Amino acid sequence: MMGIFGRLLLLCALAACAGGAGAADPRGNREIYLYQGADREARLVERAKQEGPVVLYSTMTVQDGRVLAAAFERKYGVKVTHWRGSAEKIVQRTLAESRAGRNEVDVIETSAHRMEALYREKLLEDFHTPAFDELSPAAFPRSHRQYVADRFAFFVLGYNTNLVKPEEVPSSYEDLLHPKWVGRLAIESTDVLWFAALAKAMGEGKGLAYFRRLAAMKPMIRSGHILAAQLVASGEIPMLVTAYNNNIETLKQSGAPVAWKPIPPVFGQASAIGLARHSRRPHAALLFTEFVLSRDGQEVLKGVNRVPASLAVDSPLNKFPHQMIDPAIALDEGDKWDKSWSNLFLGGKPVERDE
Amino acid sequence: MTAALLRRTEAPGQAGFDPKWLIIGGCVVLAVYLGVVPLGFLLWQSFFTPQTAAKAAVLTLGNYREAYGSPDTWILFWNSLRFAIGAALVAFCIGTLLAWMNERTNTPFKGLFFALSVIPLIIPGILFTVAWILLGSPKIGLVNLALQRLFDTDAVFVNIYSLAGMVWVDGLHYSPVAFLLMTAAFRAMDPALEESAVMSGAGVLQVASRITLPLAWPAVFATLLILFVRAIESFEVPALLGLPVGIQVFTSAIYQAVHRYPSQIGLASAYAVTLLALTTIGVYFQSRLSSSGSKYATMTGKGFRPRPIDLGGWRYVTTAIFLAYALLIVVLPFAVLVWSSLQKFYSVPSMEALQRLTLDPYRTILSYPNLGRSVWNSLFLAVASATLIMLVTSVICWIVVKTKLPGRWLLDNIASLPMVFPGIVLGLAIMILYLYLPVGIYGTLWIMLIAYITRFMPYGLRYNTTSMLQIHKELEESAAMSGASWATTFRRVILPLLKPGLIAGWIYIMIVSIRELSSSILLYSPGTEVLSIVIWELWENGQYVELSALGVMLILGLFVLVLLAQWVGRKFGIRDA
Repeated sequence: MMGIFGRLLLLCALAACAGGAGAADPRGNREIYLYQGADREARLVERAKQEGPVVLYSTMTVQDGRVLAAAFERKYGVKVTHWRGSAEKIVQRTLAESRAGRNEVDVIETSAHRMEALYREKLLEDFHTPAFDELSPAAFPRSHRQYVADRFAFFVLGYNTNLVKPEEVPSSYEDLLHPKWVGRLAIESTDVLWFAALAKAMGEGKGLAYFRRLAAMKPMIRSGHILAAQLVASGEIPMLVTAYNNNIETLKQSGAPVAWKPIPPVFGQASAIGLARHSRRPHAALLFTEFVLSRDGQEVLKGVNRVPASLAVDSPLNKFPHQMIDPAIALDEGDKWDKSWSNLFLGGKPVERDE
Repeated sequence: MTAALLRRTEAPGQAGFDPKWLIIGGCVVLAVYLGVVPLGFLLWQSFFTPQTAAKAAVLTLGNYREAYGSPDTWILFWNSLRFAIGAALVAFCIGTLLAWMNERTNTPFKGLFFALSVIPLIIPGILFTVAWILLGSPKIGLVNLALQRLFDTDAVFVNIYSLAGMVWVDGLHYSPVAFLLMTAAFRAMDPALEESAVMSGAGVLQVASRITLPLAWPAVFATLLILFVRAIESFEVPALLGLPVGIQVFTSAIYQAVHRYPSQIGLASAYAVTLLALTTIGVYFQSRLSSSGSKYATMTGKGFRPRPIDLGGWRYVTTAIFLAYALLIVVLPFAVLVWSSLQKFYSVPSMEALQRLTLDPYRTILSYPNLGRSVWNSLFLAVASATLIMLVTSVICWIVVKTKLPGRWLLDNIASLPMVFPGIVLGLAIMILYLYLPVGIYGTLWIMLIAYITRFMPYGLRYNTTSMLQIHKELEESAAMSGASWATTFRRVILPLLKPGLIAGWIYIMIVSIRELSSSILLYSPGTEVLSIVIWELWENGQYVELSALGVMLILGLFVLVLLAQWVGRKFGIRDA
């Protein structure tokens, strides 16, 4: 009478065993992640090779991910399996898997405020790598080392060089309020964090007053940074106030009539990298993360038109004073800023993000 | 009557067990399982607060209070309603007109137009919308530029960033849904009544409006239902065209809830309950139509050959309409795609840009990581889900339309509800179920197949229902009288007669499966990438020219597949006149 039920139970038991065998001891991972002995590097490389392919969940594009993985594999002989998803899907997938006790992922790389969410869900772990020394001070969260920025996207002015004369380009946020810009400005519809960070930097009361005046200029609202950048290139938008500098730079290099200019204070959104607390391949996970933050990995990121977080890498895209938007704004004050943004620019309609 | 039929088919020799119960039971269990799992998840979630490491989920009614307590929701709902009704009507009118010309008239070259008519559906939503932005934007739209030059003025002729623009683009994009459904309905229609009307002196328009459409009323209703429900959960067009001018719809609220931290799946579910209720009402009315008996059944025991009406001189008018449609809706956006696929970055056509023509985007696409595997996975999923859905739903549909089983209306409804589940909630429900259920399909292609079947089952059902209603019971009864078993009757009589609906539904599901994104994006794993993910990826990364190149290839590839499906359809089953 063992029948189907017996077999089903057996299957469950087997699955449970498999799951149990795969789960690593979290304390063990913490020790590995923070180990700083003299034999650190040799030990890391050797064990990483034994552990096999690193599973990476990242918002990086498949093409960029492949270039990065190939460079890593060339150096260490360890493969990388990249699952590409939007920031919010990465959080959902990681959470669902971990609640079901399946520790599939080793390394996660996505927008800093989504990493902050994973940190609060206790899915990340502190780690250390010598590569920290070369990173921009803006790359680190304030109170822990559970994720660290590996690349940036800076908010700058992006403009069409056929429609905006060089001497016209504003050099302060105040300049944007000149009447000649009425009808020529555009803002991306989801840049609430930029708004919050800039308004706070100006002093909240003053900042909000500034944005009320900017909103009175009736800027065009477009969704999608890349689409907006393309619309600058095609001439629909003369001046995009919240362009990402690497988007404009990529278009410029392919011959489009566009240019960008940082106006202080420049804020950036970071993409950060971190290690899964319950990784089943902790050495390989740490080795890969270290590679991404090291000069070699950062050169690769620069090569695919990303803004490296390392100051040791020569890139025009981060050579100006900059600061990171505090990831806690999104998580703790998100609703409040969403609301004022929506009242200012979206006619009271909710903000739709597609990350 | 059918209950009697069921009893009769159980010949004394086979008493006790008949394999037909295995098939019928299997299909019912499958459909209910696929429909109930996400429904249960959604309703369950709607009563809980989000779970985080710091706070456990608790039972609450707060989601409903938040969703329906604010007047903003009702404004969004009103926008959604206007948009969905408009888009459904545009799609219905265009699709039905084309289907009627294609099936009921002797318009020349119509064989070619069948495949042309489904092209708007093949173009991925993002690309279709962007192509229309490039055509209809007040500043860079080619239509405006051309008209402004023609009349030497600065006036803006068309503005795609408006409610009318949204309705137009979305309606056009989904007109093939109406086209396919109405084609199936017209194809299975006995022309005897139309012929009698013509004999009595009725004109072409009179025949169409007094005979053809009223006879196709169940199909008309099913088409409007499906178009309305689909438009109300549409996302791309409102996001790209509505947002710039502040027109937001219901799906925005759902989207926003999911994107908060912690993710408010419960709140999103509470919003979705309205969509479920709307669908339920629609399905209920449809079932009232279905139970009105054989009023709409024109396919009877009498021999019939669907024969087109001779339009006479009107033939040239319909040809002109076809040509205008092909030019405006198919050729123009396609040309925009081809143009931008030959550029390094998108720019308005000019002599300067003409010198920059390049094939680079095609090279990039052909060397794209995992492209071969993605194409293969997509094809497998598309063909497998389309075939399985059409077969399973044909049985479900038979139960709903041809039997008097109590509760069959609920069966129809449960199988129809996945149509309005927000894609992400459906994806999550399936993901979580199979993470806990140790059957080893998490991370494989099978979990995606399950998601696709769940998602598109409702469409299969509607396509089959339209055709099933037209088949008169007497055909089954004569088969049974001649000693055929249920399985034989189903295989030899019902399925061949259902063919127009089966083929139309198969084509539709195949195309939308290849485009499916919102649940694939959560469920795919390394190794099970699909084409829609590649498209999304290119879009996210701003590689529009490469995206256009992939779009051009996709359109050509699917165009061939549609022609192939039509050809296979002609070879098997009953022959057309």
